[in-house]
Amino acid sequence: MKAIIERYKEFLIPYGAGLGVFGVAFFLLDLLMMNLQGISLFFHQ
Amino acid sequence: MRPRFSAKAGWVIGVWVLALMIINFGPTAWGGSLARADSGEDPGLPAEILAMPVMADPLATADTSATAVAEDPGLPAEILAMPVMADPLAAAKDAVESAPATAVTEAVEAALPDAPVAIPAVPEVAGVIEAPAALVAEPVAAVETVQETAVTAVEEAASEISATVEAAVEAAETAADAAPVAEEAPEVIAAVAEVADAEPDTSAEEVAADADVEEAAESEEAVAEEAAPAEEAAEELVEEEPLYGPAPKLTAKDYPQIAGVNGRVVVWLVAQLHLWFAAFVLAVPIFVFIIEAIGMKTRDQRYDNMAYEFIKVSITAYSLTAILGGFLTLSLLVFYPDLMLYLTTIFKESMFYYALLFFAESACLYIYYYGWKWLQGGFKKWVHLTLGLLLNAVGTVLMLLANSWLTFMMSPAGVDASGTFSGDTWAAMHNFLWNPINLHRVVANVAYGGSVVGAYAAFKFLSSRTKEEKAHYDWMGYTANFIAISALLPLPFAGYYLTAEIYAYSQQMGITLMGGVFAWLFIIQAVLIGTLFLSANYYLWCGMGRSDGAVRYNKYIKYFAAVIVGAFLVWFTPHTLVLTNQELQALGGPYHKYLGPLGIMPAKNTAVNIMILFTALSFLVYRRANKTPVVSWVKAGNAAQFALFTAGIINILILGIYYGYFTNTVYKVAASIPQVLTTLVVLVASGVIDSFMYKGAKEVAPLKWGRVSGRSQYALFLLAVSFTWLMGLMGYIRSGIRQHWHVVDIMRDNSPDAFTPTLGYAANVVSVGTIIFMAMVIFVFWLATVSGRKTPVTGYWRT
Repeated sequence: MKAIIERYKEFLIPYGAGLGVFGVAFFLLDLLMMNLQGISLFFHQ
Repeated sequence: MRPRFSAKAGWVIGVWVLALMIINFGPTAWGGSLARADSGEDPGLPAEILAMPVMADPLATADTSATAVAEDPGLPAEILAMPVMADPLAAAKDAVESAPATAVTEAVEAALPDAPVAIPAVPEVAGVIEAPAALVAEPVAAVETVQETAVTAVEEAASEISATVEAAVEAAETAADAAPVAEEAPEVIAAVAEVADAEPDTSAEEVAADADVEEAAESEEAVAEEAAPAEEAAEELVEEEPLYGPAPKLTAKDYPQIAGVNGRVVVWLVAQLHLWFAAFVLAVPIFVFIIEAIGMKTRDQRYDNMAYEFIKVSITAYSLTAILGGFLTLSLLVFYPDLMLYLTTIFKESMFYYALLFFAESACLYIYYYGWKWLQGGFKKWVHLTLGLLLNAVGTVLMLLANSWLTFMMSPAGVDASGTFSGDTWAAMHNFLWNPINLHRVVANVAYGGSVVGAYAAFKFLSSRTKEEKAHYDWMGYTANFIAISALLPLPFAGYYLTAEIYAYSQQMGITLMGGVFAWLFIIQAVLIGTLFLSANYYLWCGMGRSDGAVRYNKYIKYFAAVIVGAFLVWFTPHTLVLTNQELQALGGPYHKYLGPLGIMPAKNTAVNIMILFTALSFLVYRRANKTPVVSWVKAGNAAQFALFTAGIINILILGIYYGYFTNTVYKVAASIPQVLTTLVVLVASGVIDSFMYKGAKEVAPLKWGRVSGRSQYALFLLAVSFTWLMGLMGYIRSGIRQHWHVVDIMRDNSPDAFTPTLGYAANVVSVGTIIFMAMVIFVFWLATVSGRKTPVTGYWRT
């Protein structure tokens, strides 16, 4: 596992960072869009 | 080495499509039960099902005897007492009934103070006053009626009064003559006279006459005063006299027939052909303008030559558009004269200016085309570009005007419930569905125009004899495909917006559109849209063969193909199937166990977003195929792009699957908005990252235009045919959802053809239209080829 991470770290680190950043960005986008339509993303049940 | 992935991709797509056909439709669902239903062979429900208690008419067993009905308690008192049960017009009725009656009473009392004989007249007058209820419908007539009836009633009342007074005077005189109490007679007369008027000297007749006139005048004034607001409204209406209306109520006799000709089919086909050509000739100048501007910016003459060739194709098509437009107008006048009269009265201004704008468009187009070689270089080129801009502006305004006429028929505005036009042309034009259609048509026209000139380029490519020609037409085909796909990507969203607006305007219309019989045409639509995406991607993948560097990306193509075809499968999976009882039993219900959930919108939205993202990915890969980036952060940039796509797709899946299936409908619908935005964010962000990453990138080797398989050119044909067929089918649906209305809820279609045809029939008409259009387009392409040919003759002309 370590070897794999070591081998691909040049890709995995920016990929992980990108995934985090874009993931949060998309989550916020969802939150904004749903709430703009008057629907809470969390308390839907 | 020339990449060989195009055959592989073709196989992958072919196998997937075959699998999907078998899984989704099978021989029974598609060709079987639908065909049976169409041909009337369907035996219907079996007798044992019809005999089930649940199928019985509930009213058949209901106790309808007089006792049962009489004993029926009806709604409980507390429900009847609820404010919502109250008659909303009650207050208005009270006001109308009581106010004039009081006024008349007052007026009569004022005219004849203390005259008890006047009182019986009041109920009569009050009764007459009920007439103002009609004020709401026809104010002018109502006011006049009220005035006339009030005057008559008051005159009658007055004559009654005078008759009573006369009778009293006579009786008193007779009594005075006959009775021993004759001395009292003058007193009686005086009393009567006093009652009639304050002036004792006036004779009873005079009093009666005075009372008649004064009372009539004052009562009339009072009534008029009460009716003043209605009168004002009536005056306003008289000033803005209804231009036309109400909408005529037609019978089958009002639709002229020509022996052996079906008016609806003629109008249908001609309108569709006109629209196809119009879409083409409106779209071509849009991207010709853009390509010319790119040529001016880059000073690369190839762009200018290509733009010129594009506009050349549209010139003949322009004539055909005008001819078909004239044919359509005449057909409409011949077969639907009353509808046209109604529409022209409402849209007379816009139709008149439409005709004038047509001159302007022709002028712009012909100067733009014929002046192309003349208006070259420096200021002249700017003048030429401005002409292109004008041409587009005029063309777009023309389309917007025509759009308003058709959207008025779907979502009428500026008219009342009876179809009486208020005179506000802008309100009629700016109806509910106008802008959604405008947006959808502009985007769709660009995609359509791109696909048709792509087919032209393919036609020229395949018939080219030299390498140079092949290179030119390959490049032209690629550019046309690029334009078509750039417009195709946002098109599903414009369509979604239009549909949402149709639902918002009329839920019934929306349900007819996507939940009723037309829903099956949406399955065909989905197949065609999927075909568009597949053929566009296939063309791009084949096009990578122009680059020597593409070999680096070939291995990814099969995965793209798998995802796009998978999304395509989901995209056109039907929700419900037309099934026989045996098929229903075998399936265990109307929905398939596994495929059923894929039939609803969350699955479609998810699929189309993923399909769009992977098409964009194909574009990115195509762009990169011949380039090597030189920036230091290539690996990080690639990783970030990977992350962007991954996060975007995960988000689309969560929104589609979780909100689409595990929450209620409100979230299901609402989640489609962030889904679309996620796709747009990914498209824009990846484009930005890519443009920075490939800034100053090295070319692997010069692109070899013309080095592309013949198969790829057929993908361009497929694109044009699919677009045409799609437009025809969807155009039919858009028009068909009006059902038996010319103008929805306003003007009923009572022609013999006022029914929704079967799907098979409609599809046949559209398919015949597509074939006619394609034949005409081939004619246009052939003309463009002929104009360049020269036959040298010797000995024919005098020297």
